[in-house]
Amino acid sequence: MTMTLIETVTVGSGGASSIEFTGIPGTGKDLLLVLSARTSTGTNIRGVSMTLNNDTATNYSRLRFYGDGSSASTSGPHSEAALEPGYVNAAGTTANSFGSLSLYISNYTSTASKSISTDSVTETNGTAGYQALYANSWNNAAAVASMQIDVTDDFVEHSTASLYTIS
Amino acid sequence: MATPTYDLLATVTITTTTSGTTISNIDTIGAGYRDLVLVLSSTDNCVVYIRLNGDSTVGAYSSVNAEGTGSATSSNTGPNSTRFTPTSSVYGGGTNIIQFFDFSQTDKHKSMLSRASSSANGVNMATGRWANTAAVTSITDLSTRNAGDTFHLYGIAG
Repeated sequence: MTMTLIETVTVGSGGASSIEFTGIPGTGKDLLLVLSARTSTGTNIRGVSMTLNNDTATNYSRLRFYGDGSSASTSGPHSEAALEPGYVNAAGTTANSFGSLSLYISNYTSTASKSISTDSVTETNGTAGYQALYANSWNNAAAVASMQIDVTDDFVEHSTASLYTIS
Repeated sequence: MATPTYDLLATVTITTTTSGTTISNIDTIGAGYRDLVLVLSSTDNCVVYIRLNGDSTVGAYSSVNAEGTGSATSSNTGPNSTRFTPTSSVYGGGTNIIQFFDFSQTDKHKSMLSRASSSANGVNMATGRWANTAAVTSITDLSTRNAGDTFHLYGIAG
């Protein structure tokens, strides 16, 4: 019973348009994703998009609590065709700075809807730093068996994503 | 070199409506760990009222939180309480993750960090303090839980 690394994906030279985990074992109780990423275009931040089991139906709901260093805001809930777990650094931020995002799914093999907690930060010691907390849900009875992580452009080289089961 | 771990110490699955859920013997099942992480997954009511070691003393708990409900943001303090209340609103369904730091140390008050999320109702981050130097031996959620709700308690080695 422990926290077990399933896989770490490291983006290589040339970048990657998406990151995918497949064959997620159903042996754990909870799932944890840790993402360190930066995108190839954009100014400050880029939103990350994610689907589970390649489900692109409108089965996701999200609510956001967000701060940019000068004010806080909140929005939602919204029904969507993908998860929006948070933000990572865009190309215009301080060089070599990568956004950090963690995503937690409790009871990921349950037949009930999955509740998904995420938080992300894009601090760069610059004038624009962002933190976002998200509550997401996936209204699907299936166990989480795969995870598709996307941005509107590319993840740059040295971006990493690690997926753990906790059991 | 210490081996980092994140081990399941206890799990509780509610099978019938229950008022008050306690995980006990933490001094035994948590021996050797530095921090505890409690993960509550709830289908109905995500509000958590935490009491440690059954301590209901007035002023034993204090907290501060920040919250977004989708339509409003807020931040509140909760001083002089008889319980730690991580969330300020009634959250219908969701996940609450609470980390208890240095839970077995007997030379400090215990601090807690909480993240609660419900895609229908809001997200909340909170910190709390238990003004007691005793080691944590039990954690009680005073809320009423319905069938299907789960508690997972993990230990993190230092």
